[in-house]
Amino acid sequence: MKGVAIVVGLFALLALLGPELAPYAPDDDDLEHILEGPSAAHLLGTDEIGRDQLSRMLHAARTSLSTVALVLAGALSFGVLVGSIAALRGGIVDEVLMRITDVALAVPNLVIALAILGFMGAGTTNMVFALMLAAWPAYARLSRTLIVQIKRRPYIEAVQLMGARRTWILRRHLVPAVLGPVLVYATADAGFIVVSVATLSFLGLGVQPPTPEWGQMLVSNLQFMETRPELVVFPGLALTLLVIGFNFAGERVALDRVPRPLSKRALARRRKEALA
Amino acid sequence: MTLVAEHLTVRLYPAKGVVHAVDDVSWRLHAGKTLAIVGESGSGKTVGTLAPLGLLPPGVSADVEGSLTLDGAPPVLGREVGVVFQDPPSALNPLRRVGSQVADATGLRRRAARERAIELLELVGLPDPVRAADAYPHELSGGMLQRAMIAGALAGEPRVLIADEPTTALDPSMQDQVLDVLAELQARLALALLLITHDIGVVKRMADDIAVMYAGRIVEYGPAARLVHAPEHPYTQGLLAAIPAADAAPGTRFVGLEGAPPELTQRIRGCAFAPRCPLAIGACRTDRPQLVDGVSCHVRTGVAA
Amino acid sequence: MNGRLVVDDVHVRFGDVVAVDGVSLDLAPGEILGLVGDSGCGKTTLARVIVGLEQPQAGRVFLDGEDLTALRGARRREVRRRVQLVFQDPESSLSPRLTIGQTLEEPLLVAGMRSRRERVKRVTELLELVGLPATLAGRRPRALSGGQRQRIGIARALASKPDVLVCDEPVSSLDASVRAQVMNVLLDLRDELDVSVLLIAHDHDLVRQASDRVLAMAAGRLGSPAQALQRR
Repeated sequence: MKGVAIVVGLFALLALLGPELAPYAPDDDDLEHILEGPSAAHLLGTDEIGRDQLSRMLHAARTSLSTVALVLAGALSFGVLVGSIAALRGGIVDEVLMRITDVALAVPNLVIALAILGFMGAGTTNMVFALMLAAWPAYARLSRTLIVQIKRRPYIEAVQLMGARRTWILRRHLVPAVLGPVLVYATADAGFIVVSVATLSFLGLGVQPPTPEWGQMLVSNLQFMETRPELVVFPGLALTLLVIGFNFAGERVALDRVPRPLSKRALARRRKEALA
Repeated sequence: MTLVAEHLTVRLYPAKGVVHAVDDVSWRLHAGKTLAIVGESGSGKTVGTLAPLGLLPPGVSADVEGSLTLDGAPPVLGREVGVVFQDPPSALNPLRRVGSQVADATGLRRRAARERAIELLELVGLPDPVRAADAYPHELSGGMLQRAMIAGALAGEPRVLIADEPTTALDPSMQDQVLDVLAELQARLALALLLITHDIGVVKRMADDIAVMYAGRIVEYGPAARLVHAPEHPYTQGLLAAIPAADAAPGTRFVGLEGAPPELTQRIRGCAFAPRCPLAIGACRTDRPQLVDGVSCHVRTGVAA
Repeated sequence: MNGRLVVDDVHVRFGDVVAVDGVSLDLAPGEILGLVGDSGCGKTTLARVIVGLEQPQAGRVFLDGEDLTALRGARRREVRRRVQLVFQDPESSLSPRLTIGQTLEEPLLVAGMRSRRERVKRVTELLELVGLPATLAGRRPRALSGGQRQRIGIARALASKPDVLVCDEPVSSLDASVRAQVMNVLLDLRDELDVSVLLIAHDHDLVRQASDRVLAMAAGRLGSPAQALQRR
């Protein structure tokens, strides 16, 4: 869990403080200084209408991270809700909900999001909504499976025998038990959603100019790739780091759940402690 | 042929801290004899026997000190020492036929392996060995599965059979069958049988010698006849008294020990049983008792009287 | 038949498997009724029917004359509370996430005990009733021994003020030396609270020592314990 906390914490800090640290406003154009290379005034240079690249990158951090957070929060709550209903109700309700989930899982998330955006039109809000709709089924599946396993445990049955209602059991026992594994999955999923946000914005369906977003900056600067490569490289680098960060954090948490023997050095240290 | 454990000490390293699971345990087992290691959960009876053979639960780190030797050399698992585990349904692959899993243990190939597997299943007294070989684990009863496990353990023609709680997961009627099979095989093959169990009933029936373990140490060790009829260590006495008697009057209170075994996160200075012992004296809490004439107790041996 | 708890001709099938095949029994106030049988004989299913975790295909269960199998909704939750179950495995029957205090408080909360002070007082009482110190309330199940955990399971059942306690193999997963602690708690509770106990176990000697009356179950039906012993 520590790895996730560090990665998420670092990016949250960036999202929170990024705009404060930015030397210029993100849409502050300066036609005297367009497409300039890095200098003391503009550490990462300027784009085609003279906006400070560093400031735009820092502002974009907030856009990227808040959209990812919104998508995850929405997909996670809706997914866990659907999964809980399916697991607790069982029977035909479970059957219907899980078939819908299966169908949604069979289609790549991005395809679903593209279809929804084609229908609703481009824009940041619509993109967040579309990605939520694409991402929830995995959470529904996961939480349903977990709840079906847990709800038969004697300690849950004991609560049933106290005369507790189903909503009580769900709130006090099932959801808290499911939340751990679901959050682990969300960590790994976050990297994918970052890429989705960038892709959709890259395609002009997501975050709209002039609001800065790393994917969208990447595409609008692509035409200057040969003259000013840093305009493309830095947004790309930021995206890559974010995705790698989330993936490593997810991997780490998943590995921590598997017991494995101590390394030789750790064992030697523990042995010394034990015999002291 | 003698299997000898000398000064076995096992420390386990879980996520945090250390567990002194086995602390200086010695015993010996001769061909054709049965040694029962008796103890309750956490007493170190299983870890103390399996860890020296390299059999540890996955992901667990441990230090093993002391030695376990068969006629002076470390025993070869499978060929010299066969092991029967506690829970047959979880020790077998549910998707493969029982016969082919036993055949794996023979180290032979194809027809020869199958024939040998059927021979082994017959040896452990399965009434229709060919049918049992072709069955999947869920098609056999717990008792039959446990016998199939014994067949697998015998595939390498070992001279020592270690059975870890062989009857715990079984119904009483099945328990008898499995114990009968073990006793018969031991007599026929002159096996040395090491029985790890918490069940005094099993011990009474099978053992030549008994080692009683508590909190990672042997508290009493000797011939079964003496231990069962004249136990000297207060823990052994308590353990035997705790078996509900067939002739106890209905409504009478149950006899047992107060309290619970100690945590083994630190080495215990005195006698590990002292906090629960009705006879404990001052020395019991400060000095570790030694095994003298098969009893490890200050009060009984009169060392600190 | 009359008694506090009456089981009348209960049948349970799972697909083609008949688990309980027409079982009737009755339990008087303050009585300990023993029920012995091998695993797979249907005794656990019968226990689950009595406490309401399993619905029988046919037959009824009465508590003080009220048909439990016919109850629905709030009334069902209300009455069902008076028949509690002590589970076989004390490890899986306690939530690993809750402290002992929280575990024992839950039935009080469900029953609508609002005052925190009253709840804390009752938790202490419950712990005392099963012979455990009040200091355990802050611990988690992991930090307890098997015998202590099983006594917490009993205390949790008692928190609902049951008239009937169904104990399904209450000591079979405990070490021999601590079984007596738990069995004596059951004997004391009967004396102190006049609760009726249905004691289900495979160990004949243990059941006979604890019970006023013993029944045996095999292949889903009741018989006399003598027959069951014969079979062994």
